[in-house]
Amino acid sequence: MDEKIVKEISRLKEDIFKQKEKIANIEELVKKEIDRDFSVDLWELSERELDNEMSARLSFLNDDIDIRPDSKAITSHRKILGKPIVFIKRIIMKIANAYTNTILEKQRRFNDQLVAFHLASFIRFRHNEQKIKAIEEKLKTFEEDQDLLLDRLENLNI
Amino acid sequence: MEKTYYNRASAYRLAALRPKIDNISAEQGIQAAYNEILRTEVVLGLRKPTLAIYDHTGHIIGGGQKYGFTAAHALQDIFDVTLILNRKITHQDILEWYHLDLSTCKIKIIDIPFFRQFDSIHLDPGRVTRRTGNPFHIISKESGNYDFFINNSMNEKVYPLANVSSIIVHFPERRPKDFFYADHYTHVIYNSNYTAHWIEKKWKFSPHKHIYPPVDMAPDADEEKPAKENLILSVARFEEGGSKKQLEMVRTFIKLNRRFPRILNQWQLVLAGGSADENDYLKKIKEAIEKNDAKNIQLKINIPGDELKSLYKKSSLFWHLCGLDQTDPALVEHFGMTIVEAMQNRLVPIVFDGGGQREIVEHGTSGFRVSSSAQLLTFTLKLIREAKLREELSMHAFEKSKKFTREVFEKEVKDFFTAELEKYRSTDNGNS
Repeated sequence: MDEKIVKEISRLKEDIFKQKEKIANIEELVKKEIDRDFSVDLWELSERELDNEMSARLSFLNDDIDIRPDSKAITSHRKILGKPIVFIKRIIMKIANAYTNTILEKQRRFNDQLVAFHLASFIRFRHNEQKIKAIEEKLKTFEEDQDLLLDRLENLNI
Repeated sequence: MEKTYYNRASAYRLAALRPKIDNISAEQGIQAAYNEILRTEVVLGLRKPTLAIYDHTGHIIGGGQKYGFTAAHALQDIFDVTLILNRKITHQDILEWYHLDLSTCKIKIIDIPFFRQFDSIHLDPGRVTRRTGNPFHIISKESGNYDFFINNSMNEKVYPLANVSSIIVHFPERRPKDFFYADHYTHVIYNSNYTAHWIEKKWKFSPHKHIYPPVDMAPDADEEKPAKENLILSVARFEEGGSKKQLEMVRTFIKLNRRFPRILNQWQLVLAGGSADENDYLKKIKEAIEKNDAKNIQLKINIPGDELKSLYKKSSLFWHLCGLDQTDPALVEHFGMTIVEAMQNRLVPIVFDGGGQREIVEHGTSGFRVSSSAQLLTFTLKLIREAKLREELSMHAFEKSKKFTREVFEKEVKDFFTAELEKYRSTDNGNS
């Protein structure tokens, strides 16, 4: 093998590897978007999947009860101008909050009640499911006992 | 072969290499450029091709994990193999758990800090959502350092960056949601037609390559054919949720006992399987046995491998009801390795008619498939009464089991990846 080729490939590999290692973001590495949104057809889900879906969505709702904006969310990537821009934006937000807070506070209370209601329904649903399972188990035990009794009756007849 | 590559190397226009790489990098990203260099090295024969097998469950003993490690065993001569795991295990562990010598493979442990907060041995990809971010991207990135990458335990949240990538699906546990990348792999390999059906249904695409799992419970060829005893065996984990249906087996056997006491007093049911210390389902089974005073039912919990082998050797019938009365496809047996283990030991299987079990047992030829406890009772009685039928089905079951041996598995894996490697080495490859 031509030494020159081997060396050049090795050098190139090292160079590219170094560049690659600096990039943590996968989308940047492959120069395309890799994440997509998928819709869920709830009718297709099994009981277990529905159960997981309910828990996941409830937890999602719970995290978003308070929809009032957080001033810490305002940031800037600009090095010098960043600080004054953020400062001004936060002041504007504070002024706007005086007007929007009444509505948003009402919405927060509504969300809170709604999540509590869903959670209560979910817990009741779980309890009912456990009750049905217990009844099914009892039925099976009754069937067993019935079989046992029938066998004993047959033996008595002999 | 070497000479061919040498000729190709001679023909290679060195001056064109860097602009080509720069061009790829500008158009498709730095990873694609790196991949092109990796492939060039293999085409020119500068080094052995590399392959990584990742398994986020590799530190737990199981059938799915055995699939991946056996694939590594089959490929270690052709590729420079690295096993990527998230928790520490050694070559010695793999040797003890699966009798596989992977000493020529490297083991690379990559910790995923996100999972430290959970008190669980299992790194559950189901916990990963858009809100948490994708902690598996550390593995995605690592995958780009190899020519070939195999993701063994269907962790669909790892984005493959290698030139050739395969995801092995033992069952599609989750539906496409946040960070779903299974359709980005070059090949989707599946363990049974049942799994393929659910990949199509849940993931909405067809998988590519079918390779049945490796099963190696057969006695050594020089061992004498063991004398069979009147034992019905079941081998399955005592799952808390009762998905393996041992309680239904106990109930059926008790019914048999009551109705045909003279026949059944010569037979025993042995339920072998692993269990956690606290297990309510196991308690229920024990209660059912005690209540009915069923002295011919034995429980063998967490027994060593040698004892299990000995049970397989002397048992005559094998029961497996996983999937009975089940509405969730994930809880139906996806393949049924223990059924094959039984068949390799000449047991006649009576199994639930569903899932991967349909691909193993041909009803009336190599065993029976049943849909209810009543049918289990009927066919068991038939086999107990007809010794000749038992003998005949046992022979066919043994023959059928040869389809699922480790040798067959390793050959299929080797053939498949050798063909892929040839394509990869070819200068006609689409990437060249």
